[in-house]
Amino acid sequence: MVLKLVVWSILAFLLMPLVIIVLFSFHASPSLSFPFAGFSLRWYAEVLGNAQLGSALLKSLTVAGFTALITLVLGAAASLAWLRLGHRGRALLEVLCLTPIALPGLFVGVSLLVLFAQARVQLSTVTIVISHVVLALPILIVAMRARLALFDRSLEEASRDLGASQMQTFGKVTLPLIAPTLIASAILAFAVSFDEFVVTSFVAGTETTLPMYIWSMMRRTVTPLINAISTLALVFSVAILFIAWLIGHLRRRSAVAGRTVS
Amino acid sequence: MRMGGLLAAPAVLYMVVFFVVPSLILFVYSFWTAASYRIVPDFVFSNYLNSLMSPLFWKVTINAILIGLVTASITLVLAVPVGYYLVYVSRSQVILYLILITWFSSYLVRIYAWRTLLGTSGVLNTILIQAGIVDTPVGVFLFSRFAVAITLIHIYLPFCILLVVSSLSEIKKDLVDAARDLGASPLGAFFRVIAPNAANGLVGAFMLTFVMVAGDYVTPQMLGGSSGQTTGLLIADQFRKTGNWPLGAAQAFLMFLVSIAIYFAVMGLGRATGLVVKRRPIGKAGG
Amino acid sequence: MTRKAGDEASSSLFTSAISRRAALTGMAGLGAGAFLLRLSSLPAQAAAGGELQVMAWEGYDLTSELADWRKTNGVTVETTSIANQDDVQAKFVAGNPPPIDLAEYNQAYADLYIREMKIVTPIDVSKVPNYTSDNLFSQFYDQPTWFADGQHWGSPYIWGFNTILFNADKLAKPASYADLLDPSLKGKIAIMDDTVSSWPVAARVAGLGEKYPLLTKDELGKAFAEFSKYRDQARVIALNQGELVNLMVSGEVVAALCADPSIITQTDQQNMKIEMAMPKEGPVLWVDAWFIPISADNIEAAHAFINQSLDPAVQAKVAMAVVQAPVSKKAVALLDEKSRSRIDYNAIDSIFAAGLPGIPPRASDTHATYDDWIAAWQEFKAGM
Repeated sequence: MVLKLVVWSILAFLLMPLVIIVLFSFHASPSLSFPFAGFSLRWYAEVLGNAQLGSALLKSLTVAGFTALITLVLGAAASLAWLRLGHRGRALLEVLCLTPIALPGLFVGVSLLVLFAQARVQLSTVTIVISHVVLALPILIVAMRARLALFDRSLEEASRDLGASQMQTFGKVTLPLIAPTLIASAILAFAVSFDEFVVTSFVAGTETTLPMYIWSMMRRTVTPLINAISTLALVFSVAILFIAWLIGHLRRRSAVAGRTVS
Repeated sequence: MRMGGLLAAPAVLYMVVFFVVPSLILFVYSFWTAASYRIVPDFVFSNYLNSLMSPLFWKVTINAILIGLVTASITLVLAVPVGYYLVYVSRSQVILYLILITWFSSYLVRIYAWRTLLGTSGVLNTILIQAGIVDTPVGVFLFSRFAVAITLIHIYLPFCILLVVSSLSEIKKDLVDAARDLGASPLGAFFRVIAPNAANGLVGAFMLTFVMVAGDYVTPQMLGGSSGQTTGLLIADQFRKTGNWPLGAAQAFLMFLVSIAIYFAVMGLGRATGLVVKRRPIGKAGG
Repeated sequence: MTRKAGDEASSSLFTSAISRRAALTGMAGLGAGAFLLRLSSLPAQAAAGGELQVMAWEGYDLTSELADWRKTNGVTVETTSIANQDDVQAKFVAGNPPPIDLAEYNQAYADLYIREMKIVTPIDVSKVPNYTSDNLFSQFYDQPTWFADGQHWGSPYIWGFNTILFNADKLAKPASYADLLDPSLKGKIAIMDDTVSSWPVAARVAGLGEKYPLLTKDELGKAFAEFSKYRDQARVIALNQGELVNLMVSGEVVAALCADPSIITQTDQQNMKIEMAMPKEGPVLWVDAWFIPISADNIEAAHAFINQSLDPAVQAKVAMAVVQAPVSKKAVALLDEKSRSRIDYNAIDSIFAAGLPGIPPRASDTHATYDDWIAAWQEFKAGM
């Protein structure tokens, strides 16, 4: 009981600033401090009417989408490799793919900045995506590895024994088994990229992602407009998490149903 | 085996090109010089020596380490009960998703939310005044180490919880149940059974949180006042304002070395107190 | 080494573009007929379109002021906003400068950009018909900062000053920077994290204002010893204007040492009455100009944009929008009453009599260098 109380107090601590963000997104006055001056939808109207904001959002969605896709392909292959590799192979993969997690984003940001400067690569959306993948790939591999530790390779072997080709085994056995993990990991990569600020500030050149736009807007004035944007992003993430949960839930139910039939 | 190598190749190649090579270039840069926003290839140690002899560098580095140690410790202390609850008491999806949601709200906007909470006319001060605990608003809530620590805890706690969950998941529930059956309280079960077995994982969670927090310069800059100057900010400024990339590169590597030194210090402390043991944890399947 | 080659390559590219244009105009000038004349002006017309990359302070990129012009000429403008002048040169440190066609810069940085970093492409004023002694105040027209060695390096755009801002409900109008050291204001003032406007004040409060930006290392130490009293008095060193607005409105601070009065439009909207005060040590004047970086790839449109920015109507509009002053004489008549009365434009000579502050030298045996100042500033911010 005490433990439950502690856990819920910690959750309350985590959620309190979110309540503030949502509350002030409806603030009738442009200030972000108390006393609260009443409710209004003006900031949401402003979000919809702001073309620069729209293009920054589009840029962020594009970057996060490509980051998730590339990370997913590279990460899924690496995770499947991890199942097949020996001790040394795994160690190499881990050192390469996990070290970036143990370094501050700043380090990754400045080292990519010097790489692009040295290679005379023009900073652009492409360099942002490249950098975000460096950040997201290790996180994705960690997340997938935890799940794949439970993966039963004998299922693949059984499939091969029954005469299925490598491709068939992958499509019919491996992929369906790891699909939920893949989807969850892709969402994670998307989220990492969507809110990334530090590394982006080094490699964005003249491009403006949503966090960069929020930052540049804050330089001039800070109004509940940023809260409205954040609230909308929050609703969006909640929707995605809900869909992810729903998919997991339905799959579990069908899996249970499948088992009872057989 | 060959298949494994083939599948790993793209990711390995990617990380070599976009992580290993850039780090090496950055290392080379740290021996170059800069003048008037021009970078000149060179081979000098002055970037390292000047940084090490600069009182400013040490001041902001000690500041970053202090912020990192305090914040990471509190974050871990808060993450453990939540992790314990999620792993052994209730695999509540609701709690997990609530934690993830906080992670998905904008970092920059959250900093301003904490300003609203901690400001002179903020929520915390209003409550304290209403409750009659203080007469005048408390100024030090904002632009202080306190403000930096509480905000960083908020930002990195979800991450730390996930790390704790994954390290606790490796300890079989049977062990905990056995301890509980023998009459141990949850706290007792944690210290006798889980802590020794999960020590390596928990130290890992602490270190990762420490590195992220100590390297974060945006929150300290916006909420720390004069205590908000950290090594990260100094490095970022070399790249974005003063144009002295080689000096920034050297300071980045110094910061990296300091992190490694702290890792060994924490591990050494853990071993000395018997919390961290070299043997493989029992509950964990080998490999 | 390689940088230099790159610079030469881009500058020779530029000169070849110039000579081609000059040749075409020359032919037209010879009276080769209307046909040739049209031919020569056609490329220029066509090139005025396309995408223009502009780097400017938030609100200074003429987004709304030039909406019609962009539409008519088929120009799309992409803006990168800056929060301090250092954001501009920082982009040109490496070998891969972004393809920025036009950037805003404070005149104090002229020497650094033009002579030391060599990142400036001269402007062809024949393509900027609005750049005339008739239109511009004499303080800006062909003045050495922007016009040197027979080249127009920059085109003056807008000017203003930073000064004391204060909450009129909470304190009496300060008459000197030193008034903000009053014990009753402890923990209630803000200093801006802006070197261009803060450094001259640091020198002035130590009685060294006349010498700035040429202070010896000893004098630099003295200036910051004095200035640190202000830091100890300050609640916070504000990162940017947005933060200052937030701090003023939430009541965290009641005065700013030396800030941009244009934030008053923001604080007004949030029902907080902020006023400006002119200290006896004087406000810090600034003039911003446009320059075309060496990495520009749409030079025609950049010239056309500069020309538009000097149009009196545009000058008046942007000056009112950002609460600053136009460089165009003709624009003054187009300002509304409030904006016109803010500055005594008839006395512009006396405003600029003391000259404009520069920045400390990059290298010097006798004086504290730019790097010395940066180091002092970083220590100042860290409370040392």
